[in-house]
Amino acid sequence: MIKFIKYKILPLLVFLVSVTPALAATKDTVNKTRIAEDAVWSIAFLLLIVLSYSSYKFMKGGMQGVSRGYMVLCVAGVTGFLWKFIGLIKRAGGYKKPEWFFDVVREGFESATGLILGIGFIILFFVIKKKK
Amino acid sequence: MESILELFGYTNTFTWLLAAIAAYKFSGIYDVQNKGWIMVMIGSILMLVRQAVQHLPNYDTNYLMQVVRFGIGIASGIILAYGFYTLFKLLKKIQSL
Repeated sequence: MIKFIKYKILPLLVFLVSVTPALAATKDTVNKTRIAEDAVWSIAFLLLIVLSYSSYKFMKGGMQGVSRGYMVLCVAGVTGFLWKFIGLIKRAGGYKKPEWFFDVVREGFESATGLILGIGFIILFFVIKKKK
Repeated sequence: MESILELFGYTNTFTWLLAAIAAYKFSGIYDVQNKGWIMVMIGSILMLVRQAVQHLPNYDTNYLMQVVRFGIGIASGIILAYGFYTLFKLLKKIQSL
């Protein structure tokens, strides 16, 4: 029962609560939702950095391939954190300029995060599959 | 500048698709770590949905669509963070053995 609540009900509730502001959407609501999203994702990427760095240190001695995969995930965590943290500063502070930093660099980090994360997962998948 | 940002938008959608597929593949490898990786997979898929919403017609003028997009982003961020935390707890448990 606890597992059912934890894995099925809780994510559904989180989703429903998060989309509730959509009922009365204004430009201000959009901005506030984005700030909340950036804050949540900054925490998620910090957790990814901690997890992948701990895994990298743990696997370093025996499993070189796996540790490299986790190192790539750690890099993805850093780029992802920068992407979301720049966005958080931009929206919370209402900054628009310099445009190259707050738009192009931020979106560049966004693209890099998805790509590096994908590469990290693929490395880990093939290394572990080979070891099995 | 606009065309560069548009190109980044399409790249992001593709790369999160790659991340979602990779997370799906990876969740099937371990028996013990399944739950954490499945959460990561769900988070990545939601992130893909979030990225896809921005390519819908009238997205730039529709505030409701934008809020739904960022709401999905919040949900995916929480699920992903919980997945990472579960995996971190498991790692600490293995280290203490």
